[in-house]
Amino acid sequence: MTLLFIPFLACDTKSDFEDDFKRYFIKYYGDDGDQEAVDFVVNNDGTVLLLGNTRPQDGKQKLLLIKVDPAGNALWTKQFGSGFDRDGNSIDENAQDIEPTVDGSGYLILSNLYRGVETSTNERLYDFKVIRIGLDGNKLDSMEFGNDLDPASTLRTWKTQFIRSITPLTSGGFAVTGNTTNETLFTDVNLDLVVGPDQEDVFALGFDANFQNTWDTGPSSDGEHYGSGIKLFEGGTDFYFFKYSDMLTASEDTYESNFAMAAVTEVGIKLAGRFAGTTNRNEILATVCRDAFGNFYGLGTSVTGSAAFGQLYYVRASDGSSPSSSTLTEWGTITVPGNLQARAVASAQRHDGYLILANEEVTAGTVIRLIKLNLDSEVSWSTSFGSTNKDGNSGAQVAELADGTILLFGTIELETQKKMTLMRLNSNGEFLN
Amino acid sequence: MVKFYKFLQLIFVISAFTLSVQAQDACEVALVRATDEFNAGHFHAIPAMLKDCIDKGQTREWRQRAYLLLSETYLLLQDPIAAEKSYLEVLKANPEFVADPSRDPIDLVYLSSKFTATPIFTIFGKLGGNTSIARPILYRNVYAHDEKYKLRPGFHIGGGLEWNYNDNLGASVEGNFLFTSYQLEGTKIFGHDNAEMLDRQTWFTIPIAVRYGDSKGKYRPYGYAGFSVDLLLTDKATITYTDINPSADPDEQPIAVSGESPLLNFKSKRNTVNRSLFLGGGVKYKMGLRYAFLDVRYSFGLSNVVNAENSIYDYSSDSGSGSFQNSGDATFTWAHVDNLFRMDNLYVSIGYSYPLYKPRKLKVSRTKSVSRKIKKQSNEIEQD
Repeated sequence: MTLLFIPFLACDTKSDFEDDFKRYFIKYYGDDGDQEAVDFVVNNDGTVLLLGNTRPQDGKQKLLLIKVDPAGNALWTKQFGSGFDRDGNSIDENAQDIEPTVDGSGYLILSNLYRGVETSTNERLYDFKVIRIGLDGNKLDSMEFGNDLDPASTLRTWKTQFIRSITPLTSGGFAVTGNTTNETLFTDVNLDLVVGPDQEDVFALGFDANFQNTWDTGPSSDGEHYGSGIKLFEGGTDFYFFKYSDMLTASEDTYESNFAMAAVTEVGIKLAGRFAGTTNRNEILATVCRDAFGNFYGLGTSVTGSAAFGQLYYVRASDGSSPSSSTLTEWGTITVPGNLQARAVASAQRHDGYLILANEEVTAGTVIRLIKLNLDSEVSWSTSFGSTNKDGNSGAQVAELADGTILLFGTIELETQKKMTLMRLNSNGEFLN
Repeated sequence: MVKFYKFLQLIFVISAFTLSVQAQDACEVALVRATDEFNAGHFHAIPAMLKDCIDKGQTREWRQRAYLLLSETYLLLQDPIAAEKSYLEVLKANPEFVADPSRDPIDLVYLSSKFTATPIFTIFGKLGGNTSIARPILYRNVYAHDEKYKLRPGFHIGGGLEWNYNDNLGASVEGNFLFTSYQLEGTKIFGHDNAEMLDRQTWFTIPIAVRYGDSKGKYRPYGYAGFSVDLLLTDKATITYTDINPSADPDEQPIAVSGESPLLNFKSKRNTVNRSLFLGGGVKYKMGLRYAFLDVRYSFGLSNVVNAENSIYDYSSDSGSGSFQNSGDATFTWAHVDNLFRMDNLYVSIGYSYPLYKPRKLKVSRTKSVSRKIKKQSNEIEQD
């Protein structure tokens, strides 16, 4: 009889919940003011580097880098940026990407420097900065590209460029891609200007380990009104080059955006492109990952006109053993209800599909939607995070860990401020063990 | 006319009162006369002398004296059945009557040992104040900050039933409604921010206790220990967040922006069935045959109050529903996730207990103990 009562009289202790809030958790990070999540790197030891932006009370946006342990506890925090460029001009940092170097000795951080608005064109002017940091987060060196270049350089005349990603190279250097808005200097000879002005030009740049520019694709040859390079992947001496562009394809007679993949040689020469998209909507590529099979999975948004939200659209590309022989193997709309904007994609560790992060527009705000796709790009499950009446919620990056749990990095708009958040979820996207 | 009727009513009341007093006086006279007859050894007439008054109904005190006299009379008349019947009436008139060997005849004391009026059950009710002490098991720290739990007042009301094993030892079961609350205060959040969560709960508790108490005197101290099943009925919280941003100019005051949440339903974030052990004590104050009491109890929470798996989203609801999304508001709007904690409670109550006396003949009489007591007293007298 006494034995029957023992469970009722037992006291719950810490040891009963030792694993609680470790295999799943939510953590907020930041300081005074607003912080926005941008990208993360998951290290082999389970630690995670979180990259974001912070806007403290002096009003100058800076880079915020936080290293956390596998349970999400902050190990150290660094800020980069002074609010001024090397010439003393006022700037805002805009963190864009963080990637580990190929030799594992540190990380490369990419930031777009906002310089203000060009009064004659009302365009926002950006240059970019790359910071190389050690494993301890301390800055080793950095470079700024654009306004800080030698005035004799023709690249300085781009005036503005916005970089979408950085790719560390085996040589110790790196490559970047993005777009520039300089319709006056680089008017595209292939472009039918009757349809609209040349607003953006796609480009990619290569740099050596000493931050010296070694090649560029040139910004003017693709024939698009708008578009952007999204990601470069190193493939031998060449690159897999993923972008979106509204240039005319062989099957189209109107300008509308599609996903595109091209090959770029080590000297910056673009080889023939392959396209994926619909004929009556604009497909805007957002992110590309290498999947568990060594191929590529691209995710973007298919929108009407210039809308920011629409349907999710995907493309798969083969490795093809080299960039020039890679082909697009599959593309289409991902059938998931809601008005969505693609943010990130990651390949599932168990080779059973992909994790997708999107922002979903709801009646009174925006929530972060996490979706698991199977290998046929069909939705296995989906779940959302964030208050439905805040529009500052935004997904940044997602990854599946070796144990099947999911790390989700994003921005959550709380009642009075925006904060970076890291969530660890079970393999069904839940805060459950 | 109205005045006249009121006058008649007054006359009627006064007359009735006067007649009643006169009747009581007559019965008092009858009892005195019967006592005189008893002392004179004229036992046979006594029952008849008291019968009319008994039939009319008298005060408890009169009935106790009358039936006691009848018990002694029947004992002397060798009528044990009538004696026992009369003694039972004594206990009905005064359940706490105890025959005293130094005062009462030995045969009455012996007779009394065959009876008891100890209440088998006592019912009681109580109300009072309480305060809840949250005892963290695991800090979950959604952000780096300092935090501490603060006490808040609550109140409770309840009642119960006590089973009396004997005059001192008993067991009880209660049913209590508790209205409790606690406060969690966070500071240095994201540098300088503060947050305050006020959590209010309604409980129905079922404590089972073993108690031991004094059975004599006007003030009767007691103590008890027990186990309780605590059912959480509702849990509502409000969170106040103050976003404090120091100015870039150190001479300027910080800019503070506050927001208060609507009432957040935390029921799904809590375990409904909880357990606790408790210790308590107090003092009963005798008021005639009833008691008022003052009680102090400390309850040690045994179980984790927080439903760890539902503390962010309510996974018991449909993940596509509005209630599922709303269940995440505490986390995604107010940056709150509960620590895991047990909850202790301190209660101070006042109450009233009502013993359900049941005069009855014992199945096993205590005549041996009475014999020993009488023998002991006799020895003491001889030694004197």
